[in-house]
Amino acid sequence: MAQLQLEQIRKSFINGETEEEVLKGVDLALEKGEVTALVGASGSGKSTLLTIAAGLQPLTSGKVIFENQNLAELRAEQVRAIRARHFGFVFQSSHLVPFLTVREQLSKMMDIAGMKSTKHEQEAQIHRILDQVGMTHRLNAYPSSLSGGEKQRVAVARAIIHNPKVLFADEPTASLDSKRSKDTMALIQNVTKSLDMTTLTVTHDEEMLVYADRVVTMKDGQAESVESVGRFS
Amino acid sequence: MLDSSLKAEGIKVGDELSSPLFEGTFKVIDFVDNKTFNHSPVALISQETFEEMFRTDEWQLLYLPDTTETISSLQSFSKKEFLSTIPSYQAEQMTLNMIVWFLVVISGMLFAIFFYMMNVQKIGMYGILKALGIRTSDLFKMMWSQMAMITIIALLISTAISQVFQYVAPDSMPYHLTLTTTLQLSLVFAVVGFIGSTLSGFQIKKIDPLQAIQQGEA
Ligand SMILES: Nc1ncnc2c1ncn2[C@@H]1O[C@H](COP(=O)(O)OP(=O)(O)OP(=O)(O)O)[C@@H](O)[C@H]1O
Ligand SMILES: [Mg+2]
Repeated sequence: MAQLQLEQIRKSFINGETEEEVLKGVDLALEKGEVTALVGASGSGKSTLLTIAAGLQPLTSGKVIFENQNLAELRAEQVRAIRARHFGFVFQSSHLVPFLTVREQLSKMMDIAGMKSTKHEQEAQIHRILDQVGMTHRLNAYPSSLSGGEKQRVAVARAIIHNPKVLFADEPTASLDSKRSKDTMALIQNVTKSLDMTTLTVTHDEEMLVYADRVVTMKDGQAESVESVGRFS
Repeated sequence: MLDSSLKAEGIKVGDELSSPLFEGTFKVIDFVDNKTFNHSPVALISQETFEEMFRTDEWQLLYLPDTTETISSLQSFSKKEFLSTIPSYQAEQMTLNMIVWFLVVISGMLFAIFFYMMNVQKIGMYGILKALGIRTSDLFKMMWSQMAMITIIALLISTAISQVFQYVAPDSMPYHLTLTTTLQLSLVFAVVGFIGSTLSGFQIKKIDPLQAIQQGEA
């Protein structure tokens, strides 16, 4: 069974009088160690699908199965606990906490995830992850003193510091230039492999698809999945 | 003996002062603190001099600590009764009290509004932290510890300023801020700040993480 399995996801939004069905029965299986990229026209429901998969918004019908549990049926507190412990998030903009240093961002996330580790173990984990994203030298920097690419690398570090099982990234490169975008996507692909995570990412940029194992195209409320050429490159 | 506020006018111990009501001169032998009547400094003179100056041997006013004994030709009042018979005293005290409480209420409201604004400004960040899976109770703890820190710093600064002002203010100014009053007011502010931030904290409960993420995209 896939790490995260979406079955017959339906989602409607009610805009005044009219009801708009954005997702019309989407099936999707996200496998361990794979990067899945969601593509599609603006408004096709990519972000909606990603946030439903992450337990961030209710669905009209369907199942989101993570470790034999259907997130759609769990209580909000249980979903929160799963998000904290097992999911990692990278957003379009880094959304770091402005008054915390890089080190503090990461130790805060470990606290949120409820990791029971000693100060020493925390410190070691922070160094290991920062090394992986190449930001060890900015350990005590505040977000305001980091460049856009650096911020996003710290955001990736925050998303994986607690060894999550699933990584969600909605347009993680949208605020970066071409070079930084490739670096960030390569980094996401890299950590997915090295930490054996399951990654779901949304992108607008065709160039980024080489970093995905699987490309899912959203169209007319349906998802069509193909293996990426990047898999063999 | 003169009220010490007169020192500021250049009068020293040993100076000789005169009065049109008295042939001789008064020698200043010492200063006493806080002897004013309607905010005017008071000079204390001996009983004989008084009798000579005003050509009377009847006393107008006699202040006896701890006594209920009555003296012929004088009415007796307790200190409170006495103070309230001075016509301007009550009015002045009431105005002052009203000013003080008005200021307390206004600054308390500002304090509460400040914390409210601080939280509103952070709603986006709180939403992101919620998306990451933080407990709402931990968000409240974060908010309270920040509030406590700011309140303590603000109170330390304001206490310091008011004490310094107390120290440098001219003695003739009717301004006395005791430590008790300061502590009482500090407590009031701490409570008001706590209420202000907690009330706005209830918004934190309602924050939708999804909105925070999408606002970041806009
Ligand atoms: N909270 C909401 N209320 C009403 N309609 C919504 C809401 N969220 C999304 N929609 C609608 O759902 C559709 C899909 O939105 P979604 O954000 O998933 O698109 P997207 O594929 O991520 O687009 P983009 O590439 O521009 O980010 C849109 O038509 C949008 O108007
Ligand atoms: Mg989107």
